[in-house]
Amino acid sequence: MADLLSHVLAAYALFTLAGWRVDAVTGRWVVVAMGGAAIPDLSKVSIVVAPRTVEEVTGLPFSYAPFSTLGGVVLVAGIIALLFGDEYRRQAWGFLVAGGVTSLVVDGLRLSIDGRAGTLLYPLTWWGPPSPNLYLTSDPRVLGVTLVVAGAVFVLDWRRSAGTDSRPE
Amino acid sequence: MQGRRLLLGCALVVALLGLFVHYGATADSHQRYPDNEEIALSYDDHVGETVQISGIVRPVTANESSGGSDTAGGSGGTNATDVTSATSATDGADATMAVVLRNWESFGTLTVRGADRTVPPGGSVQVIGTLAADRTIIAERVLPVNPHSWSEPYKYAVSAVGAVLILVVFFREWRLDASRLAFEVREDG
Repeated sequence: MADLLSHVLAAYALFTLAGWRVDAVTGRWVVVAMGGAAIPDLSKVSIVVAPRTVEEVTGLPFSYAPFSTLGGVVLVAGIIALLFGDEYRRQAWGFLVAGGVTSLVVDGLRLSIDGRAGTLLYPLTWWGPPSPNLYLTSDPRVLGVTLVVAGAVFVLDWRRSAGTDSRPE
Repeated sequence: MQGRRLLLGCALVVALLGLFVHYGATADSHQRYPDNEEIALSYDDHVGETVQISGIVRPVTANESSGGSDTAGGSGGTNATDVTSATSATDGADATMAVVLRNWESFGTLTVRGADRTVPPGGSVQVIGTLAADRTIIAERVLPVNPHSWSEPYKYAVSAVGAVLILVVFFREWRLDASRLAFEVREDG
């Protein structure tokens, strides 16, 4: 997967742009989508507690991979959405899922040895969409591109809101 | 109201744990090639098959691929001689790398032969190839996932910045209402 900062910046750029067209996408919801964009990265919990350790302790087969799938994003978004006040919960869930899906799409674009993007759509299907093999996460140019795009969006958004003041927060 | 919230939260957590177990139990039958786990647990059963591994590149030592502990050769790229000997002289279409299987490092070193590209110790690769009897994989395709020894630390450092960024921007818009245990819109923002 792309690094977490690239995920968050990509979601920032995408949802800020969406906010120019859709009034419901305000700044407070852009940051929730940015948080959602981090959900697929939770699979890196494996660095702290190895899945094999969990298997040895519980005696059950175990994998963190579902964090980086549609099913995992929907469920984790649900858990996080419950932390929001009643009146915000549904919207929070929607923006968390949308942010998480953004990251799954970004991850689906990276270089893959077998030309497949992996089990992003689990548990609906094990089928992995074909990957366009666009980038390698360890290539700093990936972050370079997302930084430039997010920076440009930030400046344009700032000038836009300063100029027209049309976006109710 | 809070009780219902707790109940729903528990249901979602149980469903998520269910996915973790289900994925762990069934992913193997959906993958195209045997991977690190199958090789480490039953190497001999897969000799001659096409396998797909995720490996961390290690310096080639004198008695290469003897198996057993990998820790001696640990933290890649510790000295210059190791680095230069990590790949065979032929860095063309038939290079050799010593790798350990990610998450199964204790299985010891394997040799990847016939690689069309190599990565220095400390980097990591994915390899699709044929498993041979002598702890060797004859590579068909090599993908340098972390082509430098700094690639993985770079990703973690950058990701940590991402995590901090999320927290900072989130709490500029939202605050935790301690009495309701819920995020509420920050009105003073």
